[in-house]
Amino acid sequence: MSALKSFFGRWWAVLAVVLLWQAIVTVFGINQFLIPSPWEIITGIAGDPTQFLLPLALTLETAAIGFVLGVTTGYLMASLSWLWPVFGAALTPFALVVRAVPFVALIPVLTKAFGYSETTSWIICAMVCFFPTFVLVGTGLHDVPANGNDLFSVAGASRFDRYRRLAAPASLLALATSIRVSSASAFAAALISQFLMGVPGLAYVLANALDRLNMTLLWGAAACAIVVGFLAYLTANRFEAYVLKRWR
Amino acid sequence: MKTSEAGAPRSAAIQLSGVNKRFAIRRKETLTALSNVSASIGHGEFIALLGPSGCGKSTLLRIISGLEDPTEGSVEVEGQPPARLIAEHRLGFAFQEHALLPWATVAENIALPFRLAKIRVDDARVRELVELVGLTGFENARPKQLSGGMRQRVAIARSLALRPDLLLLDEPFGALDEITRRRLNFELARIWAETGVTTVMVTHSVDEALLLADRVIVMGTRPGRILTEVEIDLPRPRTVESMATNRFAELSTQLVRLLDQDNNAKVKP
Amino acid sequence: MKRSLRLIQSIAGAVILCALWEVLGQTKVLGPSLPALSTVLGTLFAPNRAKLFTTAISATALSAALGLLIGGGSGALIAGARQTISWTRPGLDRFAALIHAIPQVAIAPVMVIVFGRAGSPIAVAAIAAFFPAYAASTRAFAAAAQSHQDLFTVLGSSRSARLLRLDLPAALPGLADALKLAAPGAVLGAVLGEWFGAPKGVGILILSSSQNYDIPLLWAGALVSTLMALVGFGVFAAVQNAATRRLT
Ligand SMILES: Nc1ncnc2c1ncn2[C@@H]1O[C@H](COP(=O)(O)OP(=O)(O)OP(=O)(O)O)[C@@H](O)[C@H]1O
Ligand SMILES: [Mg+2]
Repeated sequence: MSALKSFFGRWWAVLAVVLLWQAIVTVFGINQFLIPSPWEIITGIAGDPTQFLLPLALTLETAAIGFVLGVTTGYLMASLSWLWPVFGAALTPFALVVRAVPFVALIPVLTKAFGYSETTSWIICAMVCFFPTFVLVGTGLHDVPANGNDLFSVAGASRFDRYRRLAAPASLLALATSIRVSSASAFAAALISQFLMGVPGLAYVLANALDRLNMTLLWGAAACAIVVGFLAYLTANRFEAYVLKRWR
Repeated sequence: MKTSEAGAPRSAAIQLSGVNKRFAIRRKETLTALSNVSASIGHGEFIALLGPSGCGKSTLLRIISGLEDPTEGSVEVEGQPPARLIAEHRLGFAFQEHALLPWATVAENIALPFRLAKIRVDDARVRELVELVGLTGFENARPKQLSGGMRQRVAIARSLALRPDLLLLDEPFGALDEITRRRLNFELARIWAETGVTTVMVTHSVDEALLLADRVIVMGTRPGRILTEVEIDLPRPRTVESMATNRFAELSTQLVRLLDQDNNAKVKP
Repeated sequence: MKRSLRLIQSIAGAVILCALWEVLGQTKVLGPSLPALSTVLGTLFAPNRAKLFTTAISATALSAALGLLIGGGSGALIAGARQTISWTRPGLDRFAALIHAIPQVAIAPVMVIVFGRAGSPIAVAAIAAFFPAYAASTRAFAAAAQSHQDLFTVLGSSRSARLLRLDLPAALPGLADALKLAAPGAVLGAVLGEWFGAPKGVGILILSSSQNYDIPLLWAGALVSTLMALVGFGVFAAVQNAATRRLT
């Protein structure tokens, strides 16, 4: 009973919008060719799932590769900057500037700069993940508990010891946050770059469907993208909350 | 002064029975802020809550006001749950952190209770209160332009705005210098004598408690509890001269001892 | 101290980045896809292109502003409802997360179908602006100090009076913050929404120059959209500063 209540507590607004949409389309008999109801979109996807799932898998693959690359290098660079501050001092200004630049605006020029290929998509997704990770983890590494540094100084610990036992654990929370931020933007960046380059993937299906006015394909592909983006967000959020609970 | 019907037993304004308050601080870990607090406060009485820091004075005041519910036990104000008093806008509360609205002027802050009670703002009353707390000329100043003590005085004026039936004051004079503090002590004594408002005041100062209270409730720590109650039988009106009397000195020594005992008991293993 | 250090680092980063850009462009080590900064600026301020840019910029700015108004406004409004009626909170949070997780490239073609080619940029800008505005407004409404909340409780305040006299004034600096965070999103959303056949705008400029291999124009378009996003951010940052000074 209370499980049901908490389920509706969390989902009522989403459910209400979907039901309202269904009701409006059904009651007012809106041009069902152009704007289908949620139910029709679902049956459309179920009718021929492969035409959605294969491109979706391609896009997800690109996003995942870029995500892992970007977050890993971001974390490594932030750690190196912590261990050798000179290195950090040289890198931080760039990270700050590039982070202020909205990435979407840069994707068109990046696709040109790196040439139209799969690798370009990876690089773009990786860059989108790199900068927030670098900045967030860089801050997190310095977020050591009060007196922690004094304690380690007194114990005569080496800098690497201090990194391993003090700074790295302190930065885990920041890493979880950057994973949350990055997962959504990696997926978006994969879609955008694939759209601009016209390489196979979900964005290609979308553009194609719009050109040919294939509404089942268009709405189905958009729905797939939204659901996957949402699931990624929820998972990453869960993960961050879990880390927060474990480490605080 | 409000009086109870002749012959009838004097009904309590505030009745606390077996109040316990525990705060959850971590999972499965609780902190006992108040343990088995029972007290009866009469109509028109002036009570001082005296005790070391962290003994639960603020918590007790919040429970009386209904801001906080007791974990166990009950609290009644005039035989009703505290929420009743709030709904009728008959409660005045000066918080320890003064809680002035930073975007409102001194006069607007004092007028706030009128607005929230949906009563027309009585400008004359606001002016009177500004004068009472010695802030004439600062009506249009904002809180950040005032000193800490001035802010506290605004908070006191605000708590008095609607002539409440119950006045709760949480260290109202904490941030004031000795002279202003004394002056406002006597002002408060006068206001109380005129209005007969039931008052509970938290204080750290033994002198302040002796100058103002009918009864001092002395509290101890870990867990927060009532150690004892002391009747203050000094004649009113109390003045600076009262402070020089033997009785004042006796009571003062008694209270200081009580506080000290509690302290020593904690320090010794 | 820390803030001014960051500022110096950022400025240094920007200067070095621009210098690097100029040198790399002039020497053409990265090929023709990276024109020098001066070339890009030359394109941007070329007299014969002035009309092209002003038309594009004003179209995109208008879409972004309308999107910000609709998306940012409804984000703040819904956050206000969330503040006043506490049972709505988990559901509205989930709904906002869904809007946030919508990939803009995926929703833009659908918006073309629903709102037409000129309406799509506005709609995508509104979707992009919604979540930052909602999240920051939620934070803003929670900003009223607990002691103030207690005061209003003790004085027997009604819900509406609490919203009007406490939550709203306490939230104003935060609401400006919400617009500050939503503005760049709205600009980029508008640019992205234009990609699917809007009549004009910076997005169209970027797309067509990309297709025509007009690299300096492409860079100029990217630069313009970046600057527009930063200007939107800066304007509301100034408003937020003023509100903070006035209200706290
Ligand atoms: N909301 C809360 N959550 C957890 N613990 C609390 C909370 N409020 C009070 N406490 C704890 O209850 C105890 C009593 O607090 P309270 O504020 O009532 O003390 P006090 O006597 O008013 O102290 P002071 O004289 O310093 O104002 C303290 O140990 C405090 O940490
Ligand atoms: Mg206190």
